[in-house]
Amino acid sequence: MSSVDTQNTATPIGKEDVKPVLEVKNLKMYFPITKGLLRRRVGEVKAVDDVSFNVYEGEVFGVVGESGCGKTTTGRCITRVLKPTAGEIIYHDKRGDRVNLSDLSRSELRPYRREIRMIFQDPFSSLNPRLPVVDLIGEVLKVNRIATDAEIKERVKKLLRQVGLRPEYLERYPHAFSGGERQRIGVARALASEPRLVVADEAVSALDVSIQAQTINLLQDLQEEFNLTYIFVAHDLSVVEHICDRIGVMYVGKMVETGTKEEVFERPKHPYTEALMAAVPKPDPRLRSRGQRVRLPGEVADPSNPPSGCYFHPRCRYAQEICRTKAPSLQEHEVTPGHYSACHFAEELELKGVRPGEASASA
Amino acid sequence: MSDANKIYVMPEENLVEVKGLKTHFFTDEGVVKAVDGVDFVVPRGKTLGIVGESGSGKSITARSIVKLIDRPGRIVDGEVLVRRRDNSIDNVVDLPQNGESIRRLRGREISMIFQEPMASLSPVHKIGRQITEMVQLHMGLDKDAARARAIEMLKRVDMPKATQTVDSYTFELSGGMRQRAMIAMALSCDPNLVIADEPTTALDVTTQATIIDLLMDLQEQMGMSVIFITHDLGVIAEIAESVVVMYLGNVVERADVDSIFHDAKHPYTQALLRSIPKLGLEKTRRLSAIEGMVPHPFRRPRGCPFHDRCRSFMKGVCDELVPPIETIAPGRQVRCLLYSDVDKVRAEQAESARAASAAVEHSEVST
Repeated sequence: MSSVDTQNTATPIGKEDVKPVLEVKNLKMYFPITKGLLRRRVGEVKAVDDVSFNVYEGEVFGVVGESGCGKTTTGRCITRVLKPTAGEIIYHDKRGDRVNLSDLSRSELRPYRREIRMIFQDPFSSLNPRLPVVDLIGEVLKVNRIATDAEIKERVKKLLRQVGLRPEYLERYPHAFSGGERQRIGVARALASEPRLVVADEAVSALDVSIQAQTINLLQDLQEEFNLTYIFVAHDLSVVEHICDRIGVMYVGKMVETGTKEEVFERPKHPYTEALMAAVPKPDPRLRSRGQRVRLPGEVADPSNPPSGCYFHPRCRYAQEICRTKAPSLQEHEVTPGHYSACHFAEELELKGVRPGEASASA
Repeated sequence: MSDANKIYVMPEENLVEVKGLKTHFFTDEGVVKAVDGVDFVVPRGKTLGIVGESGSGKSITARSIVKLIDRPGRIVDGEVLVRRRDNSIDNVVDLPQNGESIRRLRGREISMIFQEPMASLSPVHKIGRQITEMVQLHMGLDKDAARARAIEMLKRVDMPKATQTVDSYTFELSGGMRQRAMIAMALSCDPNLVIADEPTTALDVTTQATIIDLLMDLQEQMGMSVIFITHDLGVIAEIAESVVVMYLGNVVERADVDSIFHDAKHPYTQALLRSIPKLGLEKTRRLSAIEGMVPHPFRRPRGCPFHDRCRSFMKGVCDELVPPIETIAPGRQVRCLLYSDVDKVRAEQAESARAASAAVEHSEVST
């Protein structure tokens, strides 16, 4: 176990008075690898490995990274779909009490399930095809005893209106809706219990460009209306840049960089963040970057058998001897207030971010 | 479609010309006009990007080029002219569905790369075997030569440890490696044209970037043409020389890549470009989304299929007339009534409607 000093995570700059809704401390989620008839434990996949961050009231915290980096698992631990192997998930409830969700039993979790909700990626597999909309959304109201049977219909209609669907669609089944509309039903389901914190796991990734923009706008409108806090898990950096206030970049189960959106995108301090941003294709042929871009050699490390030292060192073009032997700590490298980077050379490296106006300048 | 002996011509620099292509699906519920009037050219050694949302018909267009259309789908109209290796020109639409001639075209002269590598690679055969099978069939190489070719191709796509990977199964490879294996397979017979259908959509951005670089490097070395299908405008900006924008089975705009991104004419292209969040350029809080959604194929709006979502909608025009494709500059076409002579279009369509209804009556009588 590493040090439990977790006053590490960035506060939104200029908003120091804002209270955290969630404090994740040294979160670990290991999945066992078993072998043979007796299911002997031969190893473990460290999907989330000692991750700490805070999420503040009313903000959008983005978790980005490539597939297999543990961003979804982190989200699932927070919603307690998964029981974490170790670490604390401290939730500040409406009354301001702190409760550690990671230890709670199923029944103890119940009241918090109302307040922390999830929006899933795939609007096709996350809705029961045999239930009409009124039941899909009404279920949430019923289970959480928010509305009586008599009230449910009206409540569902109101929710449908809020997410931009026609209330007449009450009796329709999911198959009668397009992908974008289904995602709106998913959003309505998440909102039904009047949550405070919503974990959106790749909520717009499966949608078409034009529908994606509508859904992003909807999520932002709802956030303002209901003062929601989002944890926005996504791999699309342009979407994350658009919607998030603060960002955490993950690589092989570790948080490698956190900070405000502006800090992380414009002045990245971790070589992985730099490479990730350089790889995003820019929608302007005049900015063609072939040949000039930082290309990441090799593949994402295997989380069941990660490399020594810094997990990123085999692919890092700045790697030196210390990177092979010593794992850098996120907490120890606060580059600017609230901007942390788990890199031994965070303070020295001059990395390239995305500059606002980069494209328009050359256009 | 019976002129099998017709002689086709196209300019020397073109490899493929698609003219008025229509591919419809005759389902029990009705006819889905998946591709309904598509024109474009693929010059030799160049990359054409086809961009559109799901349901725009971009994949069906690509598959129509090699006639990989299964029932109930059928190419009902149009020409797909392909320059063969011996410089003769065939209209693919006329070739028998699974005849010798088209089978020599598929894989050998035109090959495809798909989004999901596992859908086109066999899980029970070694990578090498899947490549050698193709090389033996199309290039007539013997076993050893084919294996050498497979290893050479795997090296070309920067597959690590190619001499060992050739004996691996697909499940032993990561997503990016599988995509490389598929590219190696697609290029193993030295095709003239590679059709890449969303080849990087399922990949992470860093892997996507390396695969795009790889494809462009290989194009430089081997000189093939590429049709790159994607919904991602960023990828199009990165890779294509000319671009076709599709909406509901139609090409709505065709231009060189720079014009598409800096001087788009069609309101749909303009709206698409506005609706994507751009890294490092964000100034506004709200994205400018396109209202509504792509209509269901059975509920195609009358007139211009985009009219009910269009900002430049002209009442009495866009909802009544089907916009014809207009050439506004060499190599630049747009299908929007803003750029058409509306009165002329109205007169023409009234005339052709009369002719069509007469023809229908006539054919009903004759069948």
